[in-house]
Formats: sequence, C-alpha cells, structure tokens
Amino acid sequence: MKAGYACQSPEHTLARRQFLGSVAGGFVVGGLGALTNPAAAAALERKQMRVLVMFMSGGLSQLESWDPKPKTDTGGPFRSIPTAVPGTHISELLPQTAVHMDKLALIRSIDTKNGDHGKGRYQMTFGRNQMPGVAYPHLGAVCAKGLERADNPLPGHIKIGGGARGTDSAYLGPKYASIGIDGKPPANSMRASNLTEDVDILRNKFRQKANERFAQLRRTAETDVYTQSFEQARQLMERRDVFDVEKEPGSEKERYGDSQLGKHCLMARRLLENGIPFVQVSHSNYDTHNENFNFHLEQLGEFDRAFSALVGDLHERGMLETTLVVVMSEFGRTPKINARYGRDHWGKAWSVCVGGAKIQPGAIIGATNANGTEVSERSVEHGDLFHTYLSAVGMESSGSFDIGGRDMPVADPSRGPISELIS
Amino acid sequence: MHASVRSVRHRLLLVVFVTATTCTVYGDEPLHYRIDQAFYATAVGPVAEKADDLIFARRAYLDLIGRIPAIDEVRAYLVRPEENRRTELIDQLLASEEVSGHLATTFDVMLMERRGGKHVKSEEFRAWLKASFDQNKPFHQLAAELISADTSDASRPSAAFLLERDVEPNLLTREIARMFFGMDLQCAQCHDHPNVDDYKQEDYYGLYSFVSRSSLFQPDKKKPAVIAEAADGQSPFKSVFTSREAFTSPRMPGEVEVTEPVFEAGDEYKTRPAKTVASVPMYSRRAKLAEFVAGGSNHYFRRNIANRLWAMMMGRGLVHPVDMHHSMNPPSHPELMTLLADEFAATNFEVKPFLRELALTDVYQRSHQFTQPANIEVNNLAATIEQLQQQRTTANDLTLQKEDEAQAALEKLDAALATAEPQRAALAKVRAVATAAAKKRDDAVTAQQAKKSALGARQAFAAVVKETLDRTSAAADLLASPRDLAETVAILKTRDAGNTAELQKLQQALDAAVKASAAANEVLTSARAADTTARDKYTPLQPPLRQHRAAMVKAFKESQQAYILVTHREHEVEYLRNLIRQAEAAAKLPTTQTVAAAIEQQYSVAVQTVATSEMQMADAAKTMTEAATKKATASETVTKLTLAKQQQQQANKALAAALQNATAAASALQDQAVAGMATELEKTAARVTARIGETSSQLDVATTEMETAGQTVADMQARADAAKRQADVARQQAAEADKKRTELQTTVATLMTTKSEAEASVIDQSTQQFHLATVECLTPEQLTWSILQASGQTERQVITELAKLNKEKPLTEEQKSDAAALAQRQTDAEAAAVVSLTKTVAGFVKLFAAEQGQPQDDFFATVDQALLFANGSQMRSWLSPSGDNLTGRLLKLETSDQIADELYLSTLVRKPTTDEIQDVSQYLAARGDRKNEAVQELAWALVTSSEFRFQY
Repeated sequence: MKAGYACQSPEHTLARRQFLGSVAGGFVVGGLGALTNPAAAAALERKQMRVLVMFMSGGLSQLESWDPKPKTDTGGPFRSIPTAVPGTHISELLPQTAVHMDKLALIRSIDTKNGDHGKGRYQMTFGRNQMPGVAYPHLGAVCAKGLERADNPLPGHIKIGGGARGTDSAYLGPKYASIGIDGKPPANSMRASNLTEDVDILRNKFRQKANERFAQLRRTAETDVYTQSFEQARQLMERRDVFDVEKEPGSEKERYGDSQLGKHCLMARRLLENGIPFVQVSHSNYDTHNENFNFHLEQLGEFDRAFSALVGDLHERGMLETTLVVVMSEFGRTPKINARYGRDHWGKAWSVCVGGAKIQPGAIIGATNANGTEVSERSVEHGDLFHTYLSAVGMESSGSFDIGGRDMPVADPSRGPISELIS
Repeated sequence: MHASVRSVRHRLLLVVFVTATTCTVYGDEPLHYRIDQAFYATAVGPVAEKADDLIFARRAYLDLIGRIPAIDEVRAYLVRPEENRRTELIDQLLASEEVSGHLATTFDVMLMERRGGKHVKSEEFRAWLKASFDQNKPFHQLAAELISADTSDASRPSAAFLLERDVEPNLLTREIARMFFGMDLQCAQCHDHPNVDDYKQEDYYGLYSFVSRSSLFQPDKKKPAVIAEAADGQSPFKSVFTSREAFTSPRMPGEVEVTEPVFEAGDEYKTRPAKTVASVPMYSRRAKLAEFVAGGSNHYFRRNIANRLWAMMMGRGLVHPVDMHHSMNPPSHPELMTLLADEFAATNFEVKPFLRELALTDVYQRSHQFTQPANIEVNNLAATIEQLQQQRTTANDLTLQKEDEAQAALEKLDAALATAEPQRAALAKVRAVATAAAKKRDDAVTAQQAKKSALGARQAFAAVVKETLDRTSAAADLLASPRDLAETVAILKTRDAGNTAELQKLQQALDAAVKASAAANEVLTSARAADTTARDKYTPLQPPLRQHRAAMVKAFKESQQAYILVTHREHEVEYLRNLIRQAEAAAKLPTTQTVAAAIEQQYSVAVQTVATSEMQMADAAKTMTEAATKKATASETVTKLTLAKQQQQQANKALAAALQNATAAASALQDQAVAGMATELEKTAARVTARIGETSSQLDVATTEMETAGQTVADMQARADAAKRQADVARQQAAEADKKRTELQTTVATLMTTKSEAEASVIDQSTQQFHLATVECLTPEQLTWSILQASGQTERQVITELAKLNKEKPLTEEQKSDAAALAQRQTDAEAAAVVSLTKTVAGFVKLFAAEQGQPQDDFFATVDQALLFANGSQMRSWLSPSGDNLTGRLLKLETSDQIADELYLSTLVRKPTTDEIQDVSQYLAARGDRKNEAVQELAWALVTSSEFRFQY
C-alpha cells in the first residue's frame, strides 16, 4: 500500500463494532495527545534521546560532498579522499568530517522525485508530500512530543537562527511548534528589573493559592496544564543562560570557526547538552546554479570546521549514542554541469549523512551508478528517511499519536524505516 | 462567590427512560422550556445545582459579547431585582453593540480556523460577518452566500471562505462537509472511512461534484484572484481498497442526486473560458449547492449548525467533536439534538434569538461544581440498564436490517452502473467531439465575423473613394484647367481600382469563411445529433441508477439513525454502570473500613501478646539461670559436706576401735596412763560425734537448698515453655491478622480507587451530558479582551480616543450640551478603542491560538504564554496604576476589605470570601508601605489565575 492517502490510515479492517469495543463506550477525553502505545512511551523513558538536523539550505551537491564521482563526466574538479572507514571516500571538501566518518553513516540512494525548493523542504522535514489543506507536524514537533521529558521546562523544538514561534506543529499543537533562537535567551524570560525574586515568589504564592481554591471546586487536566505552565516558565527563567552562547569561552568559538554557522553549532551543542530533544541548524546557501564549485569550496569549508567540531564534541562527551545527527537538504544537485559551471535542482539520486543514536556507524546505504545519474541500489525516499530518523531515536515510527481520540500516524504509514541502518 | 452560595445541593433524578421513538408533544412553550423538558425527560443521575448570579453573569458576558463585565456593569447587575436579573441581562447583551462583533469573531474562527489574508483580509471578512449579524441575516442564507460568492467587489469579502482555500475542490469538499454538515469526510476521499461506517466515498464525491468545476483564476498576479467555473467535468472515483469504481452527480449528504439541465454543446457558458476571462457556466453547480443550503432543509445542515451554536454556549456540542456527526459518536441527547435542529430551522435560522433561548435554559445556567450524591438507588439504575439494553438490541436489529438493505441497493447500483457504463462512456466521447465541434464552429463564426467586418470596412472606404472620384472627376470636367485635378483623379482612380481588387479578395475570403462556418456548423449539427442520440440511449439508464442510489442512501441513513440509538444506549449504560460502581464502592467502603479497623485491633492485641510472652520468657530464663547457679553451688556444698561427714564417721569408727582397745588394755593392765588416754579418746570421739551431727545438719540444709533450687529451675523451665507457647500462638495470630490486615488494606485501596475512578468518570460523563457545566479555556480573544477589561486598559483607550476625537473634531458649544451628541461621541470613541485594541488582541492571538487550518478549540498552555504573563512589559504597563484603571482605583481605597472587594469583582467577577479578604489583608501587610507595588502584584496574581483563564 504505497499511496499517500490524505488520511494516512494504514489498516482499514476495523469494523464498526470492533472499533467501538476498543474504545470502551467511546467516551474519549480529548485535547491532550499522548503516545497511544504505552510500551513505546515506556521505552523512551530510559534515555533522553535527541536529534540534531543540519539543514543545508538550497540543496547541497551530493557530488561535492557525500557521493563524489571524480574523473567522470559529472564529477567536477574535486578529488575524493579516504575517510576513517576503510573503503569509504567522500569529497576532499570535507577533510575534517572525513576523520569522523567512523561515527557517521551515508544514505546515497535517495530519490524524492522533486526539484522544487518548497516541496523538497516539506518532504524532508515533514516526511510526506505536501497536500492541499492537510497539515502534518514537522520532524521537530514529532520529536519534541515523542521525546518529551516532563521534568524539562525547556522548549523541545528549536530552530537556531529564527525569531518567533513557528507554525509547524499542526495537530500536535503550539506546544511543539518550533521556537526560533538567535543566540539570545527567549523573549520574556527575564524578570522585570523592578521586581525582586522574593516579591515574585510572594505574588506567585498568592496566584497559586487562588488556583488551589479554584481547583477544589473543579479540577481538570486543562486547569492543571495551565498552572504547570507557570512552573515551567519559572524553571526556564532559572536556566535562561542555556540559550546564551556568549557564555562559551573564546577558545570554543575559535574551534568552531568564526562564522555564523560556527556560532550556531556551538549553540546547538549547548542546547543538546541541556536535554532539548530537537535542534535544527541551517546553513545557507547551496543553491548553486552558477559557480557550483567555488560556492561549495567556500561554504563547505565553513561547514566542515563547525560540523566536525560538533560531532567530535558530541562523541567525546558521550552524547553521540543518544543524539541522532542528520545532514539534509531539500534535494541534491544535477550531475550535469551547466554552462555557468553550476548544478541545478536534482531529486532523483542524492545523499544524506546521518549518525549517532542507533545508527550503525560507518554504514553506507544504497548507491548511485558510475556517474551519479541514477540510483543503482536500495532506492529510498523522504518517507523512509523520516521513519529512519524516528527509529534511530527509539520511537515507534509505525505508531500513532492520540489526538483528541483520533489516531494520527507518527509517520507516513505507507513507508518504513531503513531497518538495516538501525542497530 | 459567597460561602452560602458555594454550598452544594444536588438533586437526584431517577427518571424512567423515555423510549427514543416516542415523541413527546410539548405544545407552544418557549424553546428554552422545551429544551429543559427534553433534558429532564432522560436525565438519570446527579444534576448540578443552578450556578449563582455572578457566575451566570460572567458566563453570559463571555459567551455573548466575548469579555468579562466591567465592575460598573457588575454592580448595575447586582442592584437589579433578582427574579428578572438573568433574563434582562441576556436581552441587554443581545441588544448591545458588541454582540455582532463577538459573533463575527466566533464565526470567523469557526469557519476559517485562522485562515485569511491571502486574498481577503480577515478584518474585511469579519466586517462582512458583523454586518450580517447586525442585519440578523439567517444562517442558511449566510452559508449560501459563502458558498455561492462571486468575486465582484460587493461580495468579495464573503468569497473569503472559498478564496482562502484557493478554491481547491478537495479542500473545499472537506471543509464544507465539516463546517456546514458536521462531517469530517477527509478519509472518504480515497475510500469509505475505515473507522466511521457512515462516511462513504459516495458522500464525498456527491459533495465534491458541486465544487470540482470551480477554480481559482488569477491570470495577472498583480490583480486580485477571482473564481472561475467550468461547465463540464465529471468526478468518477475509485476506492483504493476495494477498487470499486463509480461516479455520481452532485448530491447533498443523505439526499438524492441533483437532476441537472442539459445544454447543447457550445451553449453551456454565459462567459466562455478565455485566457484572461474567468468562465461562467449557464448552470453553476456551486450555485446549486448554495441554493440547497439556502433551502435549509438538509438534515445534516440543520443538525450541524444547531449543534455548533449549542457548543458555543455550553462549551461542548451535544455531538462532540462538532465535526464528527456519525452514528458511532451519538449526540448525548438524541431527542434534544433533533429538537434543536428542527427548531432552529423553524425559526428561520436566526442566530441571536436562538442563543437567547439557549441562555435561558437550566442547562446553560447550571453550576460547574460537583459533589458526589449521598445515595444512589442502585436497583432502580439496574432496571434502567435492563431497559436500555433492550432498546439497544431492538435498535441494533434495525441497524443490521437496514445495513443489509443498503448493501443490496449498493449491489444493484453497481450492477446498474456497470450496465450504463458503455453508454456513459460513449456519451462522454461523443460529447467531447460535440464540444470540440462547437468550439470550431464558434471559432469559424468569429472568423467569419472578422472577415465580414473587414469587408464592410473596406466597402465603406471604397464607397468614399468612389464618391470622391466621381465628384472630383465631375469637378475636373467642369473646371477650366483640369490639370490641377488630374493628379488627384489619377490617384483616386488607382485607389478605386485597387479597392475593387481588394473587395473581391475580401469577398472571397468572406465566402470561404461563410463556407467554413457553414461546414463547421454542419459538423456541429451532426455532432450534436450524435450527442443527442447517445444521450437518448443513456438517459433511460439513469433512473434506475438514481433509484438504486436513492434507496441505498435512504437505507444507510436509516441504519445510521438506528445505530445512533445503539451507541447512545451503550454510552448511557456505561454511565449508569459507573454510577453503580461508584455507589457500590461508596457503600462498601465504610463497612470494609470498619472491618479493617477491627482486624487492625486484633493484630495489635496479638502483637502485644507476643511482646508480653516474650518478656515473660525472658524473666523465667533469667530466674532459671540464677536458680541453676544456686543449685550448682548447693550441690557442691552437699558433696563437700558428705565427704567431710564420711571422713568424720571413719575417724569416729577408728576412734571407737582405739577406745575399745585402750579400754580393754587399761582394764587389763590397770594402767593409769592408758586409762587416761582412753578417757581422752572417749572425749575426742564424743567431739567427733558432735561434729558429725553438725555436718549432718549442714548437709541437710545444703541438700534442701539444692533441691529447692532444682525445683525452681524446673518451675522456670515450665514457665518459659508456657510463655513460648503463648508467644507462638500470639505470633501466629498476629501473622494471620497481618495477612487479613494487608488484604483489607488492599480492598480498601481498591475500593477507594474504584470509587475515585468511577467518580472521575461520572464527572466526565456528567459534563458530557450537561448535568454539570463544562470548564473550558477562554478563547484567545475572550482572554485578551477580558484582561483589557479587568485591568482598565479598555477604558483608558476609550479616554485616549475621546481626547483624540475632541481635538480633531471639537464639539460645538451647542453639541456639548446636547446629550445625544455627547453619547454619539462616546460611542465613536468606544468604536475607535475597539479598532486600536484589536491589534493588541491580534498579538495575543498569535501566541495563544492553534495554527491556521487546525481545529481551534483545543487548549494549549505553553511556556512562552506563561513567560508573557510573568514578565511581558505589556501586562506590566496595563497593571500599573494610572487614573481610574484597576490598580489606580485599588490604590485609592483605604481598607483591605474595600481593596479585596474591588479587586475580586473587577477580575474574577465575584465577591471575595472571608478567607480571601484575609489573604489580601495579609499580603498588603507583608508589603508594608509598598502598597503601590502590592496592588499590582495582587491584580497580576488574579488575572493570571486559572479562575480567570477558564470559562466555568
């Protein structure tokens, strides 16, 4: 069953009476979604898993990065270099990343059949094809909810570089929408200068007493959630430094490189260290219709330094086994080099780099033909990748969220994870 | 809320169920009365008491005009006579300026789910809605206008419903089904709904066909988009699961297919499609849908809107979620749902009078407080359950029967579809040919007209040339020196000759065009004839199709209605079982607790006994040890003395022998010395004998001592053994008691869990059945307007706007003394304040509302919202004392009683309790001379409290 139905319902065998039996009379308390499979939820309790997405905006060339084809008609001027994994070569533009390839894996057989930026971005970060009038949650929202920790007051879905709250959580609700962080603590996270902590505690006690009185008459899940949000706000205020990248020593900044990306990667490390389940860093701009090679030389130089420092740090701090790292784009770039030394949009045969969490280190999934114009084995698409990411952090990707009594599949039920990549 | 009001009383209603099929005649009572009657007719279990006057007022303000009342409004309300207070308030609010604005906001959010701004600004759509509510436009008319909207300037705002969804037919189908028919048919796009038997792909495409020919048309991106509609386009569909293929004409949910007019190929358009022109068909399917909606007779349409209005007032729908009307999700009160739907339609779908009736019901005015009923008569409930289950069985039988009928009709329909398919395909083919021929004919006619007008123009030109030539020639003839004109005449002659040739050419072209046109016409005529022939073959096949489909839809609808009763009765049984479970647990709990207490007592007695026995054992052991020591010592002494006695006796024997010898010797020898010695011996023997006596008595003493100690040891052993036995028995008793105790503890815990779970379920179910008012969050708009109102920011804005107006357009002296002019000025200022504060509200909505296109009734409390409340500068500035705003007023008050009163009335719309007054007083005292800050902190704490955040 491979069609992308709007309802995404995998099995359609439930008869009316069976269904009714399963909901015991049908009184369903709605509003607050939860993982419907308690076993899956319990499994996640064990470790705080995290996801880091490096989004190479514009479309990273697979030929200048993960799947080089030197000395072919499509290969371009750069060589390929050996990596920490014997037999695995990547582009010479990523020398420092090559050192860490024993911790990472490559998927070289992606066919998303799309060359549009907006659609590609949607495919890769929402795990499905965009359909009019149907909204699905972003990977970050799914992770923020699926990997949520009740005791962590920090927001679960962060986009570094943005500003306000995003609209990307669909039916999961604003709680899981992305929060844009630009290196400063979130808005309103600082107590007003004319309010002392003692007085703040005092007024909050008065508020809590009022809440308790109200709760004595009638208490609901919603009134609880409301009162808890203030407690979370208080905890976040105490930890607002987490968001302040200026707290990092100068030597660290030097190691990550004096670029915006370097700063953002350092920021990402801080956030992941503090147990935030999903962090996305973007790097712009790889849309190289002109001068593909010069642009990649420059951009990947920045990326190689920051990314390798980050992967190295995650590894050294023992966080890589609980942190999935993904380097993705909206699509790849054409093997054919155009008249302006550029490469154009290409969704037919391209690559993504993953690593950490339950990803098999050093694995290579799939391949393209000799000059990279076609996938030659193990063709996968964005839906499979989405399942793979979730599986890599221990989520049941074929499970559902219970949204007000309706089951919403976590990922496209017509696809599944690349199971050989998951340990 | 006064303590007295908060005390809770409950009625326990145990009413025998009215069978669902029985129709109760209520007569000409007002609707609110009939609603309550319908409610009480089936109410079983505890029903909450009427909410107090101030809770009612807060509720009514929020529901009818979207904000809490100002303190002046609260005080004015409280001085009204109690008996009419509520009715008067409802009427006052429904007549106020604010009601239409609030309804516009509510309907905008409901219909658009925060979509807007792509093609039509949200404020324009809201203004259109507000104007509609000001005119009391009936809802079916409003809905019809939304569906039929064209994009002329006048109706552009109402086109927002279509335009903001990019006139995308699948999206429109889903949304029209959800918003106007209460059904989320999304899954039915690709197949019958997997979990909801009622939602059929047939229904989806029936609706889809109404809108599938419409599309967004925007040839020039700089100009506003418009809506085009094609005259053709069928919507065949195929299930991705069963591969069933079918097609349908437009069909309203639960109704028969539309019969559509047939136009000859080429005559279908009012405005033919062209590159820059939006096409308009002669027959618009979308307009047809609007016409049906405007008719207001559709079963689902009526129920949907009545239920949504109910949900608006009551916090949840009789059917909930409101877009899930289907038989597995029955209304909480099927009879009431029908009553509401019929009555709303009967009163011409007028929203405000309907809201008035809802607000007047007991259901609306019920408290949100719940106390478990003291006693529930389980036997009566059991009987009711029995009755409900019988009703369920009957309804289920009917469902199955109707499902079979529907299935049979479906099979017939599919057979008829298969039979008709060749004719239908043939017709479609022929029709396509005819349409192409019509286009060719039209093109030919256009070409012919172009040729004709070219010829006409040339003919006119030629005539002018000819006439000029004639006149010039005549003039030349008359003139003396014709040479002057010769050149002109020559030119004219050349032109004339040229014209003749050109006219000939044009005439030929026209002739050709006429011919082509005639030929095209001929082609068209024969194509049309073929079309007619094909149609004549197909037409007779249609009635059976329609008939089978109608039979199927009817049977499905009947099975659905029967099944509503099945699921409804199941829900009722579930509820009653919970009541029983709760009652039984509540009844069992005290006796079990008493038994548990007794066992607890036994256990502790046994434990005590064990302790005592063990102590006795220890005592005995100690005594026994001492006695044993004594016995040992005595025994040693006895041994020693016995030995001494033996020695003494032997000595005595020896002495006696010696004495005898000595005595014999002395008498034989008459030896004086020997006799003296014998005397000595005799003396010695007497001394030894005496010593033996001493030793013997010592021995006796020691022996007695030894025997006594031995006895003590034996005694103590016996005593210890007895104590041990006693301890063993007690220990066993304790263990048994402990086991029982643990069992009972578990039993009590289970009972308490059962009871509290049942209680929680009963509360949920009571809320779902409107026995108890819901507790729902305020919408983002209600929340923000209420904060603005409570803090006094609204009033401050009005004062600002008034000053602005008075500066820009000062009132004349005459106007200043004219009450009407002053009132008008005030109204203008209030309107201006609403406009400027609407921007503030929009800022809050961004943070507090769900994403666009998502359901807007879920509650979210996020950290960023709490941070805004805690530290946002806006909130701080609203709550800082200024003039007569809330904190400004609080600051001016003297006593903490006064402050508490003003504070609670302004924010929570109620009077503070004694405890709360005391808390305020303590807070103020704690803050000493920082009263300025203290009042801000208090106001902040109440505005951010859950009581403020929720509607209850």
